[in-house]
Amino acid sequence: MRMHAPLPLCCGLFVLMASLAPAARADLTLNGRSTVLAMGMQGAGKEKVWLDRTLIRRDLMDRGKAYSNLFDLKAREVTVLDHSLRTATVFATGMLKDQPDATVDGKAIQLELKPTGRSHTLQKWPCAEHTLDLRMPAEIGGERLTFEMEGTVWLARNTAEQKETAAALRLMQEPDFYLGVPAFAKASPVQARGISEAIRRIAPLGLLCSVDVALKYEGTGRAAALSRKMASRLSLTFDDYSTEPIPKGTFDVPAGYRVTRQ
Amino acid sequence: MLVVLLAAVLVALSAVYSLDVMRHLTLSPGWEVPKSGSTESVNVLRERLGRDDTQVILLFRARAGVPEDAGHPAYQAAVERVLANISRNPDVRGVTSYPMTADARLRSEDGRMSYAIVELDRSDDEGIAAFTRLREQARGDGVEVLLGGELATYVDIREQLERDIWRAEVASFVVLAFLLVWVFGSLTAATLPLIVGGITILLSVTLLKLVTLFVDVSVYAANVVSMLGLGLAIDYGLFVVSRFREELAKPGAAVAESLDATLATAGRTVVYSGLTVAASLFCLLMLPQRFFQNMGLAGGISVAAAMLTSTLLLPALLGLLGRRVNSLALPVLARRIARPDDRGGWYRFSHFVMRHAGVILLAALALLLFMGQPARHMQVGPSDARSLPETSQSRQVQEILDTRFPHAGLSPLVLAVHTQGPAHAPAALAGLHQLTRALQGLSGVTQVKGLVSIDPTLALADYEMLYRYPEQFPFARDALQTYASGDYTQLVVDYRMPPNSEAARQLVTRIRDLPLPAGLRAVHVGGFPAFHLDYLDSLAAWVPWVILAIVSVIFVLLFLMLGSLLIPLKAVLTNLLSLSATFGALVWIFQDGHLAWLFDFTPQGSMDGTILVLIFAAAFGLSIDYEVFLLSRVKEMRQQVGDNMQAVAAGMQKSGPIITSAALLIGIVLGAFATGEVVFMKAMGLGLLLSVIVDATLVRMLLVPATLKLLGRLNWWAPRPLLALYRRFHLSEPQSRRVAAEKER
Repeated sequence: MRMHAPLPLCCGLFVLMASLAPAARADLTLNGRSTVLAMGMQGAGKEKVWLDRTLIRRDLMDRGKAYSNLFDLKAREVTVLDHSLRTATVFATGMLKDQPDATVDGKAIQLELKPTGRSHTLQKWPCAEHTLDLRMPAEIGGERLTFEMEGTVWLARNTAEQKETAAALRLMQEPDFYLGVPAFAKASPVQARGISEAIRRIAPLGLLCSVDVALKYEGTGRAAALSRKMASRLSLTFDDYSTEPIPKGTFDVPAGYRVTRQ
Repeated sequence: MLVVLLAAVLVALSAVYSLDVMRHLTLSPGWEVPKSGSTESVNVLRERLGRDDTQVILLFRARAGVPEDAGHPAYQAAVERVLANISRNPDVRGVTSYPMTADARLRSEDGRMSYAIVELDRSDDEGIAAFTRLREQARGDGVEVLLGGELATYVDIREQLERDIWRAEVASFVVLAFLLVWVFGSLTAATLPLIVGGITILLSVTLLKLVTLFVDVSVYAANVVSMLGLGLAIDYGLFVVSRFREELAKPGAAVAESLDATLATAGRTVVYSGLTVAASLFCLLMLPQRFFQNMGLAGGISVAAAMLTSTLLLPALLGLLGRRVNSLALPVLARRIARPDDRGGWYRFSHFVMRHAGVILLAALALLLFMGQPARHMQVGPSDARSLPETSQSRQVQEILDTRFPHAGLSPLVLAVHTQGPAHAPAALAGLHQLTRALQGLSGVTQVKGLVSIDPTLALADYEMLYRYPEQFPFARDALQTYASGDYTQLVVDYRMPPNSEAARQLVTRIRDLPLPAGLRAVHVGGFPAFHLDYLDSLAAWVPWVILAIVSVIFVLLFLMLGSLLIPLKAVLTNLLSLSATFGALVWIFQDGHLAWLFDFTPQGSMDGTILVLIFAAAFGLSIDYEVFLLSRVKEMRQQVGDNMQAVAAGMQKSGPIITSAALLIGIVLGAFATGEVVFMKAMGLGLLLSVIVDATLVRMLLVPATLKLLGRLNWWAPRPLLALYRRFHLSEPQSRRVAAEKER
């Protein structure tokens, strides 16, 4: 049993949040730590994210097993690397987006982001705290619910890196933009679609320093009652970043991995 | 010459064939009881749920420069670096660590260290190979990593045994060589039993490899082969060479005639002795566990090999050597050997015993009974990491977890549950829910993990909804993947008591006694305490029958050899007494911990049941061995001299030095194994050594002559129908041509 069960959700959120930080110099490496609290259990681990223009790589540990997600925003592909099995599974994000139950009206997503006035620095980045309040419709167990994500986001504005994110931002603003971790997108297509939409809106506002949010569902039926019991909390904090050139091959499937396309 | 040439070719072929025998032996010992609840649980998990995993503990101890604080970032970073090393290992199914989960059970009570649980995806032989790969990877610069858990303990024991056995074999071979020179006074004669010993091991190993073509054979079988094969072959070699030299020393004896007499007497006795030891060991095949069957098979094979080399190859070598068997004599020793005395110390001693037969019999019996007293409070329990030396990692891990991690639950009970219909269907969930609640209500149970115990706030109706829409609840989907497949699921039960305790086994019994809720077809309880409970139950059910079989077979064989009813009865009874004395001594030493300082071990408060069974089977055979050698001589002398007392005294005189030497030789082999570092190997070596000592002294020197004297003519009595049977099927030695000729004269 996974200790941090809503991992797909976290994966989606973390990667999407991380994608808010496209680098001006095209090469950016972020090191951080993520924590998930769900059903009285905690799952924590290191996070490492590499960004190069429209390429993103996230390395993570799930229950002690090493995985990587390689995002190619331009090609609209995500490749999941399982380093212990030495497999690479390539997903077209368009395919995930086109799942019948993944559609959500952008107007139905309510997002509020308010600065609190508090700030701290991450190396040279001035990170400002914002409250985040996201609400969107969802359906679980045949019931209509409201998915809520509340918490704080620390964003760095007016940094040298942020000014030159045009390429990535442009891709994010395209109407069919969709970025999902396959497992999350398949398990919770509506939420994944919604978060993609949220990212599209938050991305121009700054680079992500950290995020700490509570996730819950609201409604009146049985599924809603159950979902309330399953509320969870997740956080991601980057401890440092580097603009050193990223080693060649970071965004490639390692040699010897068995590649399959989904 | 032809036999020697054939043997040389066979030895060469065997050497080539058996080179890779270890690769054909399974590392898994085969202790599980077929069809028991614990075995069924393992089978269901493996075959129905695809779970074949085993847990390894990684205990992290801060190195210099890293704070001894499991919550300190530097300590956690060091732990994470170690875990990163194993994160790409395909054998690792998952890892749970303190930095990952903040689970207080994974941190020591004083907060100074933490551990991680690594689930290896494989068990048995593959699991052991996976463990050794994991051990190579689980290293770090900031923390020292100690590996523990059941599998680690097993691997540590296995590796320690390999070192101990290699050392014991080399040491005993060297000491045996010197001792044989001392016994024979001739380098040539001394070399022969060693050759027989070496070839016996080679032949046994070859036969063992052939057996692996048909059945799984544990690596432990190789240990039995080396210990028993070497000991018995040297013993048999000693008997045959001694007898040959004795026959050769008789006036006017020719080589061919001496060889004939040797084969007719000592050779036949060796065959007979081999039959008794092998029969005793083969009775282990009655036990359901593959481990005992392997041991019986390996024992039988090594005895057969020792018999074959001693009665086929050795006579051929003796025939080739002829009188040169006495060549390369060492003058001082040779002079001692050259003075055989028909009325020497053994003769006089046996007369002394027979003159005071009643008193000596009572005194010997009293001593044996006294020695056997501690066996009355014998406790049979499993071996754990304390069997290993204190420096062993898995032992250190167990001791640290026992003392500093009060809430660590490392050997959970695993219940394999067969449900009516799919495990996530409402009816099955209701049954599981009821069973889970019943388990949680049992005293000693600390946690139950399964489909319906993900979160204590969830009700049965919540679980029904979760599993109705698993694709929408990642928790439910993960739980189904982890715990269920089709109409099978598993429950994992953590408990408070030590896994090897009686209380843990009682918990298993209480779980098995729980009523089966509606919606469930069957529940199989597995995990270490369940395995051990089934193991003990199996021994309790089968060992009495094994003992009866050993005793019966040996009784029949002795009767067919001696044509007597009372001597076999006496032999069996005294053997049982002798063994109870041995067990008493073992309990006193290993269970109660007396002399722990001398033998350098930590008493565990119980005796390993496996070792007791093996000691019984092997020691019973070996004990009878000496009695066979002595009685065959007594019978031979009785045929020559007629008088009972004279025959006993002469038999004692003839066999005394040889049996003493044989006991000394096999004692050295067994004693060398007793110097090992693993407690149960110490117990095995010491137990067999004690049995040999008790047998070669109390039984052979006191009990046998005293009873032979007291029984008088009854010694050789048997009812007429049995005597007829004996005359038809007897195994006794025919008189050699020379003995017959001497008698005629």
